Amino acid sequence: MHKHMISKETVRNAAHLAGIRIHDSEVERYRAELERILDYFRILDEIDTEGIEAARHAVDGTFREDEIRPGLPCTSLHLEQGFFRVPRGRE
Amino acid sequence: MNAWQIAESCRSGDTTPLEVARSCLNRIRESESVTRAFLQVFDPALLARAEALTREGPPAEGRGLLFGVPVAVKDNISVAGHALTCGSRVLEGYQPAYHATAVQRILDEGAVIVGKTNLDEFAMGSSTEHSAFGATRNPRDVTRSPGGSSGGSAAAVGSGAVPLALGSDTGGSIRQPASLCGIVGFKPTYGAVSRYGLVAFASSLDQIGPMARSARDAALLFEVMTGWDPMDSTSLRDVVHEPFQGDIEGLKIGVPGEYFKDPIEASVRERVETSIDRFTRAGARLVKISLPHTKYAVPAYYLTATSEASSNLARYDGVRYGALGRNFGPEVKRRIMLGTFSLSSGYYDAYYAKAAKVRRLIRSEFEEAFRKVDLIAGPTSPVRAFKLGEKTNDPVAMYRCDSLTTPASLAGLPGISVPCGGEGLPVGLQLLGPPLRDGLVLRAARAFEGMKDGV
Repeated sequence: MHKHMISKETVRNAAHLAGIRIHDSEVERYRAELERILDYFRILDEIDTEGIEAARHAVDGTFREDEIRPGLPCTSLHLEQGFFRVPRGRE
Repeated sequence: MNAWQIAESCRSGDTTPLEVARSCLNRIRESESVTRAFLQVFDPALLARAEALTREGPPAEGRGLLFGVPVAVKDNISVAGHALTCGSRVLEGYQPAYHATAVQRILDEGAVIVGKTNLDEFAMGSSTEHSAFGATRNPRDVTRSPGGSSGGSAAAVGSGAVPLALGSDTGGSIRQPASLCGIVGFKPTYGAVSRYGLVAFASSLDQIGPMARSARDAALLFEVMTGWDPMDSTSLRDVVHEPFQGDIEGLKIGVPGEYFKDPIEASVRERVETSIDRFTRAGARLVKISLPHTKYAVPAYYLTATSEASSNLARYDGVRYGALGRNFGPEVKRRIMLGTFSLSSGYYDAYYAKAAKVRRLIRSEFEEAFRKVDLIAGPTSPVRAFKLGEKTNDPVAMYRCDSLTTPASLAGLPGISVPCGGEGLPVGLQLLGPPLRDGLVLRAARAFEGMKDGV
């Protein structure tokens, strides 16, 4: 892991990629917090993981086959004539 | 009364589900002004359900394991026809159309669901302070946190409002609040209880489990909920069914030195060490072991969990749920950004991929240990219940509270927290077993409870 500072731009970029809104006045707080967190996580650098196989699951090979089955009824309050009502995406 | 006693009394006709439900509702009304454990109480629906059960009478022999037993459900688990919030304003107006499999199974055994309990928003937190609807308070001391994220369920059981509750555990969210509230909390082997109907936080780690006042009750609820489910692609088919009770003579219990180091409070260490010694009186043998990667579990866990969360929570982007305009709270935002960052181009290898490799090392280390010992024992939480507000401005301090629960989460192991007595605020003893040996973990926990009485 490389040592690097988290910039305000990194924070804005992560928020943008994730589609969450953060106010300008919050950017510095998140920047400082993420930097502290990642600084602590840097202890992982102590471990040599060269050649170690990644484990992305708790148990290996338990997935079932995908099969298409009937869907579910829907009870969203935003339902209108069988469709979801969502905010306008384009003006 | 214990859950198994309530079910027995309702089945034999000594009492009725309706009587039980009425007195439960009264207790909830009393305790709620103190703990604020519930987001919703199903009043009057729970009375209607209890009345129907009373009218129908006890089920056929061998069924009705939870007949008439009031159960609280963490509000990230679906109960059809009742709002589900995840402690967030983002899901406002959402009402699940189906029961979670775990919920369906307890209903099939005659349980009465009394309501939904508070949690950190989307189960992201260790104190229940990150709920959009306000913090829950610890029933043992209302100025303190009940732990989290299943703090509402822990407080509801701890205050005596309900005998049983469902929680979910991703990095310790059942075990840690159980420890801080002085109750039993069991995280089953990953895949032993279906995740269908549980709102996803980190899919490779999330697991539903029981919270109760005794290991016997926790085992009862687990027995009802466990089993293969075609609706969950990671549900296990081959959970080992072994007795939940019996002696533990000859059992080898590993005690990892790393679980008793910083940041553990001295009083917690002493209490847990004394408690573990009791096992020797029941014929178990204590073996010193070493799990040197323990201190890397918190960073590996948080990188893994937040990466998975940033992908899982992308579904609340407003396109399908109309959630634009509402917003996540600061802890969820922090974690989504952390996860997005660790998955992003240029950082992926150094963060997410590195964490996955460390996860392998932690898994291997446990596999190695379980070749030598049957169970592992240590503290659940390095600290007792902390003051509300004490850690909310220091995410790193909050994350470090999970130092002893996250290792087993990464390895998918079954783990239980049982209260181990002493003066003052509760302390939890954690017992971990190899994957699929849920029965063994529950048996040892039950034996431990028995020893306390007999000594």
